[in-house]
Amino acid sequence: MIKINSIFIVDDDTITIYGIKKILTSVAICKDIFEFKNGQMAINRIKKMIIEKSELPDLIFLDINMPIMDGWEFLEEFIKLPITKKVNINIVTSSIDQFDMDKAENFSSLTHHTVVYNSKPIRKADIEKITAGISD
Amino acid sequence: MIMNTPIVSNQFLIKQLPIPTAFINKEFKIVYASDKWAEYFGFQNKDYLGKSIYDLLGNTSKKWSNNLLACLDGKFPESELEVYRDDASKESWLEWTNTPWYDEHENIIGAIVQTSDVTDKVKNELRIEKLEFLQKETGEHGKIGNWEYQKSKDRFTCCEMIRRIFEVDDDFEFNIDNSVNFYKTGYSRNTISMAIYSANQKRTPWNEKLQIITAKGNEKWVNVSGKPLYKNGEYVGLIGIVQDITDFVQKEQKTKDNEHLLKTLINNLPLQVYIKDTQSKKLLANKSELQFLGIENESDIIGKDDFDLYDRATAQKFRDEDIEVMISQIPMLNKELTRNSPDGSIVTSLSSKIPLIGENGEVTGLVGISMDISEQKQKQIELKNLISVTSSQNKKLINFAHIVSHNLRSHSANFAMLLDFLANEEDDKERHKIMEMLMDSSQNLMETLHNLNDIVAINTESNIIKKEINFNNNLNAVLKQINAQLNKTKATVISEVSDDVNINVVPEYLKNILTNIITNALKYKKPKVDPIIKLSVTYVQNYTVISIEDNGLGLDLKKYGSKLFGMYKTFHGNSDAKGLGLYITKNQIEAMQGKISATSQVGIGSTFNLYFNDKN
Repeated sequence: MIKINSIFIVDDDTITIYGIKKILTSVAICKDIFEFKNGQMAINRIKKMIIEKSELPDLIFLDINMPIMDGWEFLEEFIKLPITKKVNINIVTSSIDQFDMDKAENFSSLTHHTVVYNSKPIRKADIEKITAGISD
Repeated sequence: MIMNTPIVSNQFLIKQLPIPTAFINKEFKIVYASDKWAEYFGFQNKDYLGKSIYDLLGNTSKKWSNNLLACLDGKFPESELEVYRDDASKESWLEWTNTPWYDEHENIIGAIVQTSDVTDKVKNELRIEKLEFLQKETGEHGKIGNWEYQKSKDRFTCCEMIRRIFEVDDDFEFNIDNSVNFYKTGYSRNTISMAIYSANQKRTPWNEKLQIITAKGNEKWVNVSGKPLYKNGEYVGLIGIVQDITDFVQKEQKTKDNEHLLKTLINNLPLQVYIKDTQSKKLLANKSELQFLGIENESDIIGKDDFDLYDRATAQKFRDEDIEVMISQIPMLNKELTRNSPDGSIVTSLSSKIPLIGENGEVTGLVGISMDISEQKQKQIELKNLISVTSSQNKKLINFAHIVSHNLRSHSANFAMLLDFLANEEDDKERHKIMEMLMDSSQNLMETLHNLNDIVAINTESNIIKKEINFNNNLNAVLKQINAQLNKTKATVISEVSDDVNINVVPEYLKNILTNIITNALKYKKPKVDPIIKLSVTYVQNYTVISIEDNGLGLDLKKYGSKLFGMYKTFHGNSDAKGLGLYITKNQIEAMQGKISATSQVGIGSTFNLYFNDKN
């Protein structure tokens, strides 16, 4: 089984968090899984990690529609942060709007991090593919 | 010396001759002369006998001398007409008749010189000659012919021009009857017949413009005038002239036709057309212009300027434009002008001014064309408003559809995922957990659908019925309903709205709106501060504005302002925030033709301003 040290799940929907966690644990050995109800909480934690020089997440699952700070606002802040490590960011949203897909594509071109767009429901096969990418 | 001195009796006879007569001898000296002769040449009481006629008369012509010499040779020369100037240079026409003078033996002893003054006769002849010339030339150029009818001889005479006008042969003989028959039947023939009759009976002259049909069948216009002639009070005939005025009438008709065409065109244009002189005084105004200015007759506007027709400021503006156009000689085209008309309405017109330039290149005035586009302008505004309403509704609809599909998709995605887990899960405890989640999801979906249904209902309700209700009464009813929540949070609600304030609303909506905003204030209260909610009223142009102020968490409107009233937007981490309340509130207020706005400061509180439309 693939080992992943640190994973962020940023979503205000408890069922989605439950689902992602359940699949993740079935396909990989995850050391730390952090949950955040909105982008603000996640970005605060990352900033703290940078200051403390602790290990940043390898993989981020990111919802778009969230209160306080949504997924896009999170991405905007995130890509500005001084992170040399390549972080795998997976957008997981119920939106199938082309506009949102294009926006994700745009973010991908602006950063060295990987930005991938996934529509809900997220299935085991999707997570397997994502985790496989991490170990490379 | 006088030869062959005649007898004295002869001398007396000669003296008394009624015609100026002089007898001269071969040496041209006067032998006898009649008193008349002396008188005519101014020699009365002077000694002229025995003096040379050349000396006496002075300037005589060579021709006359030859004539006299011929007489002495026994010839009888013809009379001579000559101009004679006396010492005072008075000019006279004299007819000289020189004949030889014989003695009883048939010997020529001199000449008899007779003179008669024909000045009057010559002058008359000249006058007649001139008149004839003038008449002929006038006739030729003006196509004027004359005719005369002599009753005594029952004869009709006319000049050549008459024949040309009537296009008859030289041998055609006019008479009263056949000349009348040339006139076109109807008005022309009746008129000429009556004119001749009246001339006969009442001695009246005539002057008419009539139509004839010539011998060759051509139709012509003629001006005919004539009058009866009387001699010693007795009718003797008629005299008259006929002028061919066909060309003139045709040209006149053509001009009239053109003028009529132009006038019809100008008058029926749906544009205001006018012509002004260099002083900006109106020379012409068409029907539209008169209608626009509320003037009935064109004559009431001719000669007036804009200062007579418009208010001073407008008139000055127009005059400045006029001057600019006339000085620059550059047309002003399609200039839009909006102004207040005296009746208070706003008039927008599109006007052009084109300089009128005379033959010598000088400006003689201007032509103005203007169109009242107030109605189009009004329609344009209405259309713009309609487009804005439509586009905002469309935007709302797209937004709504987007949100609905997004929400339903997120629920269905959860169902799909959970059902997937359930199918593969063997652990009973885990299965139970998944089942519970499915139940929750189902519950959420039902609630979402219910809310969406409410929103659709608000937006599709076509006949919103508003009632005037007392504000505080309704506020109290709402507070009673949420009493438990108020008590739990230790909230204080203060209404600064006086008890007599009524507002025009859909009662259900008002209750919903107040409930939403007040419970929101409770939800987003500061953790350790008791909420205080203050309500007040102000009035702004057609709106009664209820302001609801709280001392809660507040919100960064710079960041979230655009999303505040959106669907499913929550801004605080509270678990019971569903993000639908304000969306519904906004929809209900807008359904009542009102609006909502908010001000907020993080850490201090928020104020929602509800604009209730007093009309509609």
